[in-house]
Amino acid sequence: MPSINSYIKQSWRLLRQNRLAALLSILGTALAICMIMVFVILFIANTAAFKPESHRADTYYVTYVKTEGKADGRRIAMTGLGLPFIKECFYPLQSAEAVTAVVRDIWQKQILLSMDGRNTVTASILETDTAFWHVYNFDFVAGNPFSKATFESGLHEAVISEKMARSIFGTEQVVGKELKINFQVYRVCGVVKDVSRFADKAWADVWIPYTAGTHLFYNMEGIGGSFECYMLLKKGHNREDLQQELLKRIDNFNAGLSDVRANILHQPFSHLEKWMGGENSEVSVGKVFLRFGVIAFIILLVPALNISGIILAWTRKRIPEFALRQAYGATRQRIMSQVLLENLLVTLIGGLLGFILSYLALACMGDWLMITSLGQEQLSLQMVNGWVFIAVFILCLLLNLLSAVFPAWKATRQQISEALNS
Amino acid sequence: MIASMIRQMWNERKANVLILLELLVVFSCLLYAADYLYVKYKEYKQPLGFDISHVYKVWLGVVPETSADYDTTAVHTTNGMDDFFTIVDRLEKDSRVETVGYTSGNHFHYMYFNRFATFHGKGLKRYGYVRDVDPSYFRVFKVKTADGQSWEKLEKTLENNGIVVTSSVAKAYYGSPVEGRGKDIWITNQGDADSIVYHIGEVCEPQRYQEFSSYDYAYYRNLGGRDELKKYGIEILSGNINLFVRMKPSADKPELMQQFRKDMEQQLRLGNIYLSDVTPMSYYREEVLRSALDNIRLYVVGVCFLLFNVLLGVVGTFWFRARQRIPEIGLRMAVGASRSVIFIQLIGEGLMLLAVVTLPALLIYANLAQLDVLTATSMDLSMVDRLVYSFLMAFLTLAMMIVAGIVFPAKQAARLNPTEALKDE
Amino acid sequence: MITLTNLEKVYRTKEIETVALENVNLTVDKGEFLSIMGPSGCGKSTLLNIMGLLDQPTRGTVEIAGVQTASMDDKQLAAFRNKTLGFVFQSFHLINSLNVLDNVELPLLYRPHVSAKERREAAIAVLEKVGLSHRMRHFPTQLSGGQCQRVAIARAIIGNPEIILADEPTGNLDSKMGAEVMEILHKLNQEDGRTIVMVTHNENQAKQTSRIVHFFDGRQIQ
Repeated sequence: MPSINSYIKQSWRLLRQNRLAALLSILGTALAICMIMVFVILFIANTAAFKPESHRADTYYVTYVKTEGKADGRRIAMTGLGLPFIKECFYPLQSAEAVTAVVRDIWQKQILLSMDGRNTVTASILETDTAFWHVYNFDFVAGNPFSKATFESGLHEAVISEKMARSIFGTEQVVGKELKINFQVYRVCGVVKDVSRFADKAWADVWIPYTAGTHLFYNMEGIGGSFECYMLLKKGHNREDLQQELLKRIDNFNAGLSDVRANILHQPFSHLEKWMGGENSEVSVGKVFLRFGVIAFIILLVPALNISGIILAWTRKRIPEFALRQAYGATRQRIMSQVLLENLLVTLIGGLLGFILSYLALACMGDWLMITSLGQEQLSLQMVNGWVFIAVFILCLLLNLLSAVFPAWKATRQQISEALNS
Repeated sequence: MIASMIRQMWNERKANVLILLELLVVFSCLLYAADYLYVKYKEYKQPLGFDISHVYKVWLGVVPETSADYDTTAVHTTNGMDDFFTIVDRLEKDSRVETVGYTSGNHFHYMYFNRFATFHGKGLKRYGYVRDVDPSYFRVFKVKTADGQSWEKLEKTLENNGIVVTSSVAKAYYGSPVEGRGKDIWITNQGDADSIVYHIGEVCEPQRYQEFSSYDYAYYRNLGGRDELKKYGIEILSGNINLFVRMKPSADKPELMQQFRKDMEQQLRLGNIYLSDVTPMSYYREEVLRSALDNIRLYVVGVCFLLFNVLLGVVGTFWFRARQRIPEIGLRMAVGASRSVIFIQLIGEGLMLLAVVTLPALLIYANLAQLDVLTATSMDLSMVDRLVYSFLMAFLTLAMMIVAGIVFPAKQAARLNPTEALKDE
Repeated sequence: MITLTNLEKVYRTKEIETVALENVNLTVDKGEFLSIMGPSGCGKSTLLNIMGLLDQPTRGTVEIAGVQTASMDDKQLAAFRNKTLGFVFQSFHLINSLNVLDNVELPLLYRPHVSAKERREAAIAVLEKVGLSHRMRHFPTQLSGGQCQRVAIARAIIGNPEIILADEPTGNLDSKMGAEVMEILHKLNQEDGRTIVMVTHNENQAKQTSRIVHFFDGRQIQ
């Protein structure tokens, strides 16, 4: 009984004898695995839960509202949400564990200033409420989130990132110290670990209570404003419950208005929908997954055809060897598994290489390939866990099967006597 | 010669199945990707209707009353807009600045801050935008008239209280852009219940938000003169007024801009107004185009991946094949094929493979077009052009890859010594 | 027809220098059927390859049909082989992926200004000559050894060359098939007046030809 060990030894020798063939199949495998890995890593980074967005699967988003004429339904405005609208329809939601409202000025960075005016840095500021710290799961290096009392009385307190703390104060231990944000004095109540740009909802440099900010204005009888609303689903409730309750509350709210009404269209969106569809997420998740599936299939199929061709030429040369093995009592099944195993070695080497390549590619080409997602924040290893390794292994197996089954089958089809004579 | 090659390939069809299948899959994908890239290129290349080169947005901040830095003694605290115009004048006087302009908060190229407007008349209804701007807007962004003249006419129109509509509006209502000049049009502005009749003084070139979006229906009206604006407090500076400068090209260098920013920080600290940032318009352009460009890059990466695979596949296939066929090559040399003929024949075989999959690939492509999965665009592009260009692009790149993949094994084969080749069994 | 003067062929590798041919002077007249005999490795195949312009001698000159071949480049050599020489090999060298007709047509494929129709007609004509016109659509793998060699002969004569070079043409055939092949070669020599040079191990076949040359260790011994 030939052991697996002897197979591996033989295939290693074969690899060394057929350097070009080995090189081509390993390169092909590596490239395919690398391509898929880049997609997988990006997908995971964009959709999987990681701190501080630990509850992505249960978070729902309403980021804009359409204001319509009550009488004629004409489009009046498409804006962020107004605070009265949020207070009436979103904060009281029973099917939500927590509801947070935020204002993010994406176009203008604000100026942070140390009290002596010496250190200055521009920063992205998120104005929010206390529920924000419940929806998102920040790592505090020092201090705490601003309190409910602070929020309600609109006190000037701020949570800042480590990076900001270092550039303004030169240290992270800054709780209780003061700094100026747009010439207003704020007291630092907490310092959090820097947040990856992949966490694009929780991400900012500075978080302050919106009651202290300048975006409280609203219009359209309270519908329109600058806010976005994020909701964390309560255990035991589903999306349907949330949507129904929300719509009911909006109907009630609209009933109290005189000229206009609010329409949230197809919202709230899940995190996945939001990522796939961008701002106007009217694409179905199923369709997007189908598209991913087709792309992944092609990425695997094309190199598999390549490698299959190479293995075919390779095994054809070895048909006498297989015939000999069969003559000495090896079954077809055994020969097939030999070819598959041999190929698995190639695939695994290629897979490993591809895995390394994918990280190199993300590290080196990140700026060029995905300026949005990677250029600004290095990928943190925290996001890429054992799942990715398992994914690579499964992909290797898939690629191996795709490429080796046909040649393996062909190799054992020949009549033994004919094969021995050829 | 070609007929004989085809016959030989047909007789060897079993050995060619895999590489043909690969070429078919790749060709179809390339057609799709080439079409996408062609469409995106065309969209990108269409004129924008404005020019942001050397243009910067000047962000002004207002010190809040609650701040300790709030200057209660400032002369202009009650009428702070005077300070604003002093700032505009100071910028204008700076030798590095070409021109200065400002608009209301709801118009800003590349940033979607809008006020909607609905155009009426002739049974047509078009949704678009109202843009309140100072006449200087046209000068800063170098907007041309519909018939290609420079901004002066547009500026004058707003000064005379006419409105300027974009070519898209004039074309929809009056057939051609220049016909719109001097006509009246009914418009409902966002938030108003009733429509107002406006007099179109001039028509500007078609405009759109960014490189990948379609042309908008929009009109420009005067934001109001200085006296009008001075009625407001300086609060309107935060969010409701956008200030732009166009720098002289000679001054628009990173080091010089650094200095300009520093100078201005001092010069523009006036009353309770301060300069918070001077941001190049290209920054906003990049922000907005990011995801679109990311997508294009992904397509390019995908295309490179497929092409590289074709290269590997062709090298592999032809390397093995050339080796298997060494005696055949020797024989061909013996019966009178020169080395260059052998080389050309091998390359020809590769291209023949491509020719074989061309028709099925086109059929798949036509089916994709039927299923409406090809790239959607708001541009008016002829389907024939798209087909022809994407076909040419896909075919030529694929042909190049195939030739590149065969050159090495073919060269090796052509270099064979015929007697050695004939001995090889 | 063929004149070899002071021919020498030396194979060099890094360590060893092997003399394959030494001081060969040989003339083959027009219409002659020459047999070359000798043990394996005596250099007779090398000689045939040099006559066939498939290999260059280390020293000496090769003149064929009144033309000095030393100064020819690859293109000229190829054209010359195509027009003047026909080859028959021990192992047939048929292309398995082409049918009989296509195999036979091959030399005309590399000759300029021959139409597909002319090629086809010429191929049918030579296949009739070797008695295989009923097997035109078959593939080499479907033929017997003797039939294969007859196809190879048809291929050798389709271009109407003056000289046929045969390297052990019956070496892979049984005696009956071998006799058939020899019969065809003799016919080509006597009826068409083609010059034939044949390398063989078979004494009987050699005796039937017009002249025999013996080789031993790269030297012509009579």
